[in-house]
Amino acid sequence: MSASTLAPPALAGVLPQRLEADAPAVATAGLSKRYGARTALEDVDLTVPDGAVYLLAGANGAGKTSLLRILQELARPTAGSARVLGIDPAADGAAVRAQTGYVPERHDVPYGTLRVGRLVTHHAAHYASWDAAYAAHLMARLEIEPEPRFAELSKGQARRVQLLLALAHRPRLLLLDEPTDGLDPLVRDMVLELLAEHLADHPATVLVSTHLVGEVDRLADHVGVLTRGHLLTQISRAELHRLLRRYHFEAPEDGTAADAGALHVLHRTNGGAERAWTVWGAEAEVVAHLTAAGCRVRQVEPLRLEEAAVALLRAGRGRP
Amino acid sequence: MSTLSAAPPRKQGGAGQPETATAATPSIRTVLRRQLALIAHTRGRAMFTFVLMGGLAILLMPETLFDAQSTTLAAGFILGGVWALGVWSGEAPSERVYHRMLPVGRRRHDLLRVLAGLGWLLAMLAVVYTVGGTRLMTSWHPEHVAQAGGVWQIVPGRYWINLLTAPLTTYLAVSAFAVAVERPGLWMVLTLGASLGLLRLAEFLELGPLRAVLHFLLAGPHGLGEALVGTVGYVPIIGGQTPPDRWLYAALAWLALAALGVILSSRVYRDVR
Repeated sequence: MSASTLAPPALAGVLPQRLEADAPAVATAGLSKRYGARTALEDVDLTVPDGAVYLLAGANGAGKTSLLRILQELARPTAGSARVLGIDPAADGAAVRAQTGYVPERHDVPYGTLRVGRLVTHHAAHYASWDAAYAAHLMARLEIEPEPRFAELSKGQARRVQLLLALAHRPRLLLLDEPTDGLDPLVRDMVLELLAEHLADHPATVLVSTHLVGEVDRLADHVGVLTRGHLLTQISRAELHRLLRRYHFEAPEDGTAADAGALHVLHRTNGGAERAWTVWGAEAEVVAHLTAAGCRVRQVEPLRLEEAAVALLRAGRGRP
Repeated sequence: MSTLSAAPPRKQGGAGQPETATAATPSIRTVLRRQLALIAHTRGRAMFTFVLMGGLAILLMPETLFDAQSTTLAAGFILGGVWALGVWSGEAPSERVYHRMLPVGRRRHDLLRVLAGLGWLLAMLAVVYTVGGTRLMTSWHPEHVAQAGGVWQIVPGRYWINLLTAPLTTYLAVSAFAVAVERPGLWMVLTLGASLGLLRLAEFLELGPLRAVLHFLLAGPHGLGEALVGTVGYVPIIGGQTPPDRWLYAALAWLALAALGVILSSRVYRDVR
């Protein structure tokens, strides 16, 4: 059995790169970021619809963190523009941050000697909408103790404190950069459950960046795939579910396969006559094409979000 | 067959919900109070050590308060400079993720941190000078103090002010570096070294104009040296002479220049890592 990933030249034109939204929570236009000779982002047009949970998938170093930092005015774009909740972060970053809950990629806070309770008090004073009762509830749910100094916390404990700080002022927008990084499986599950509860009780737009796509499978309703600083595609989950599927079929007995060039095949696994191809396109058209080529389609299955993201990431890399 | 489960149902329209966050940002007063509290909570040990060392220095060498120019100059540099570095310890411009993610304008936030640090520096100096200094002056020269009716009568306020200008000027100058550059201590030393090196070079090569400019800036009647040392050594009680008024102008000018440096450096934008 052999497996390969194809990156058809026409794929870039096939994958949807624009999302329509009347008043998007986040919109970037031609956003680029360079650090010296290294390009972190290149001409990114990101659209996060209001109320969406947008999963930004990408490998390490794909530019996810740079993008989120620009949205918080922690970094400035080299070119292009961004609007967050209708505000340009470069013009009024404070107003953006007042309505945003941000979990940064880094776990550390420079005030290692500060007790957790004091850090929460300090943080709370900056937000008019800070909900002390909800903060207390989150502290209990996340099992956060106020007494330890921040430097004494483990990576996972520090992450939980960061989540508390991001959620307790009930922001309109959540920017989560690898939010489950450093958490053990039990806590990770609890945190994701808490996020789902938070969104049910306090509706917000979420832009979550992760390379562990499977973890946010249950939350995301939109997906963007960032690869090497380029936004390969962005699409609603329903559309992704409809258009990206795996086709199990038997190739003709003479060993010839369907003409892959006519299909947008992202990944193929060949095992004798048995084939399993991940193909982009309407199911009816793909099945018709395979059947016309003498193949017997045995099963068509949608992909899990993680599988879909991996297939797209591989295609974006163009790696066989 | 499908394993691509639908996202859980939830309310839509996050931006329109009344209970969610507003764009209101905290007032200057709130941010300043928080910065004062933050410094107290995170640099408390350093502040305690600062006051303790200052008190001990005066206890062991009371003449450093008014009499020894070089010692006072050094103390001013060390106290103000070290404190400025301490206020931003662990928070180089590219490391200020937490500081920068709060809903406060970047420049305003930086300036308020510097101001809060300045407030604590004044408070610490006040403790050292008033509690330590006056008590020791009283015990060191009891006959003078008794004769004059109190330490404030024999040491006028202007002399006390000058004891503040050296550390405050140094604090603001180093803060200007700390706000904008990754290694402020190194940059400060390099700047001072380069200035002194240039002065020496200008003297050695007899570069008149350059030497004149540097001499004016560093050692002239309104130079940095005058601003930092000022009235030190002139206090009548210790047998000094009445100082010329120029120190006050020099001190104010350099203090203003250092403050301007902080304001300008806050305009420097750096990405966080």
